Amino acid sequence: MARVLDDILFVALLVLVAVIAAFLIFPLIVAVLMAFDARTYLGTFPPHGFSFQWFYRFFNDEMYMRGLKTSLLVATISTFASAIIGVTAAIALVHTRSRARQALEAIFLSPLIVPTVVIGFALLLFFSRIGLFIGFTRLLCGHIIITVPYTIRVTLAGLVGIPKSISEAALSLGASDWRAFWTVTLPLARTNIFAGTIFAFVFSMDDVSVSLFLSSVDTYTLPVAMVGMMQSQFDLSIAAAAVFLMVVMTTLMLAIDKIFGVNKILVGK
Amino acid sequence: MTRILREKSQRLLLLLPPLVVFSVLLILPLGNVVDQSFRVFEGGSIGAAADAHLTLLNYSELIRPTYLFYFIQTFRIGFVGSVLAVTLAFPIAYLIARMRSQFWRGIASGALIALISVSTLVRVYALLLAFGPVGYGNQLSAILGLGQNSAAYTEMVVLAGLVYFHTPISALVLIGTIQGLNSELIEAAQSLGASRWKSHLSITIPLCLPGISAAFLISFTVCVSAFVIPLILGKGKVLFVSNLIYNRFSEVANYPSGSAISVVLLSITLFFVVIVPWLFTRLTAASSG
Amino acid sequence: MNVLELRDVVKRFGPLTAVNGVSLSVQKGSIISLLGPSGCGKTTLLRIIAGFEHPDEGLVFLGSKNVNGKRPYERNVGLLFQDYALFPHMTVGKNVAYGLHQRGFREPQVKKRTDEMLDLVGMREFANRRPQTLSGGQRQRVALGRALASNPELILLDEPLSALDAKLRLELRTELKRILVTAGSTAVIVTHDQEEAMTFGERVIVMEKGQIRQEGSPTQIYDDPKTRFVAEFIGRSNWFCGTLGQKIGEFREFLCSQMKTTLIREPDQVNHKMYDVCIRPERILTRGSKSKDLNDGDEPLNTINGTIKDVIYLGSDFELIIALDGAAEMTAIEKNRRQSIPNRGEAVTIAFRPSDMIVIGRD
Repeated sequence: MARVLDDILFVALLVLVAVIAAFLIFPLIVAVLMAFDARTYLGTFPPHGFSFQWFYRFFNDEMYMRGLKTSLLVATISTFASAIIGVTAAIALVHTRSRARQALEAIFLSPLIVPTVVIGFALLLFFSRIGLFIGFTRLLCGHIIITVPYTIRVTLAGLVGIPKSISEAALSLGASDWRAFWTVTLPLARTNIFAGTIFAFVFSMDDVSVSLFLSSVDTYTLPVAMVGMMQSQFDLSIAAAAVFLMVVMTTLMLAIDKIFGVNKILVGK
Repeated sequence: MTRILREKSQRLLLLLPPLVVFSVLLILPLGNVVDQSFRVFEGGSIGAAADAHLTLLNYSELIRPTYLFYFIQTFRIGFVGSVLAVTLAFPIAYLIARMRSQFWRGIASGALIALISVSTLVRVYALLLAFGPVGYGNQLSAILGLGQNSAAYTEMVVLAGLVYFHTPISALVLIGTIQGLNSELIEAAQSLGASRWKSHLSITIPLCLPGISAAFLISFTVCVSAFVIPLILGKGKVLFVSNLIYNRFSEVANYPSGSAISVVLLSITLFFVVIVPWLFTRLTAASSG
Repeated sequence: MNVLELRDVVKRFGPLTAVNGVSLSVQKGSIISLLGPSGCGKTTLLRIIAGFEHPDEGLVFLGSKNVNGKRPYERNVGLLFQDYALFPHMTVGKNVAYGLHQRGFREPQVKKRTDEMLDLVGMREFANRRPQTLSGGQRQRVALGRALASNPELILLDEPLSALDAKLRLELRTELKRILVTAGSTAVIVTHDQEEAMTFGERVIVMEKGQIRQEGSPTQIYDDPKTRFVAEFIGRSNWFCGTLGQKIGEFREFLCSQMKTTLIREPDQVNHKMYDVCIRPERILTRGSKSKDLNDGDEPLNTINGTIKDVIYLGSDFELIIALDGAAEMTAIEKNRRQSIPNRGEAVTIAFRPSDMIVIGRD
């Protein structure tokens, strides 16, 4: 009797998971398919025909392209800065006594805890107070502070994970502390640093909360442009933009996962 | 790690750039927010004037029913959302963790990661389409007997958004928890006579409880501070605390009030992320000590 | 010429004193084993010599130079790590060449020396492979080659065989020794395994609780241990406790409640209250009554009657547990030469020479 119940419950579990999976995938399918809809008006799902019209509109729209350009620039520069700051901080942390280190780690990882809205709002207020009104710089700063925790955490994990005996071997073979670090430790942490940088890039491209506060009329990111479109003019060019973003980001993330394992970044091991 | 920074002064020097960045971009701005939250609001300027009077008005007005309503709404929807997310995540995590083939497990985890890595905005938009008139909004709202533009239906969509966002992440976290379980325990239970579902009920789930609560806590904290999901899916009818902050900025330009709300939100987040786990470990240590 | 000299070295870690006044010296070209249980301080001593720890007291000399305070890269000491510590991001060849580059060798010489080393350790064909693709034994050879490449004055080996399985251990034992001897190295090998210590070391230094208990050749350590600890740490033993009786010729009576009076060698000091006497199992002959086999000298044999309590077959050996008339139990070991072994319950007479008995005075 228990046996039958077991089997029934197992099947029920499979069905449940299948339903959940469908729930998770379905909206994405809707969005992707609708991006290729041939109708010129916003019709209901499923789409009719197949067309690239929305993509043409997306790539030819001045507002979207401006946002895309800004997004890419901001992401690239802020990621680069974030990587440098992250590696620097990680190296400094590895050398610090554990008391001070815990406190420092808490500070450096705090942007992960502080709601991004609060960060965006606080930065806006602060920049206005000190008189920084250049939109691009503001965006850059905002993106740096929200991505740095990831580069620090991932680089730190990499440095800590190198067995002590390897760096000691380098020392015993005649390398000075600095040369041992440069020729042995750093190369071994390379994968981590690389993965952390790409993750920071993806995170920056995706950000809405901070960017909404720090964007201005002439400087805004792609997600900000899309939000604006979603609230005002509701046509399927947004779907095309969405598909575009999706392809870019998923490719990058899967690349990191192949090389490195995204679980470690998200769950923070 | 070789100690390349043998001098204390070298270490401090290297810490300087990150510390400067964090001071300027995080600590000072947050400090400023706290300061602003106690200032009187004067229209027309970004932030109250530097010498404005100190006041508790910004906080006291949050206790008024109109604002309290938004706080309660945030917590209510956030709570239900995270409970649902974790509940749905568990079966998925369970199936994946117990897959025998490494290959399929990799594919399944990869699918979850692909899902998460799709931009937040894109996922929210997809939901907007799917639950709106373009998708099955008409049909769904009819089945539920709610007007498609009603607050009630909008709330459900926001809830769906939260669950949609948090289920994959919670699943990934829980996979780790379940894999950490000693499979011999289940086998022992079964050799002692418990059927499969009974052994899971009495062994797996209780042992996973710490992991489940951790996943829930994270999910809840993020839900409460959610911004994009209620912004897009809430369509102005459902507002979370973070949307209130944004409104203070974009509509009313009442920055002191926005600061106060920010401080409250930050305190709540810190409470759940720092204090609650600490309390929890204290309690469990006491009971097992 | 002393390649290494330690004078009264002391090292503490908080309340724990890991090394408690160690002095030793190592001559050029010799291979020394540092033997002791875990926690005896041998690894700490190794790290002090290499420069990863600095002594709280005492002096360390490499050659004639005092190296206290010098960093590892300022000493010319090669190190073979327990986990080999090969650089995963470099090929075998680059690993071996690393030390040469760091110490300033130029290119044509680097290549020549690297090839020489790879030939010495038998890994020339693997020069372009990564360490991850090699087996444990292969990795160890590369690690040794890497450590020897820049011709260090001294090479330290940290438990070189502990990470390998029994079969590999046997193979590599002789191989490693060959490499060290061919290279003419001065080596100190740290180990907790007595077999390893005896195989490698021309001299064995036994440590316990941060101090040196005894130094000597493997034979000396085995046949003539000065303390009970050393006697027990190396080889197996049967212990008896008793007092000294009369002197009889060159021998002394040993009075023990657990067996009949036996003859032992005259100990160095006769004024201890009690004595611990130990007989190694393989020095005991067990026969019906063939005590004549042992007598190849003028030594009188000690003979005791007993009964076989148990026989354990170990393949190459037989282990016999014998209950002596007089209550004590002894373990004897005989090589398996397909001889007939007494059965359980049979009466036997055991015999052993006085000179085979190890006598240690108790304070």
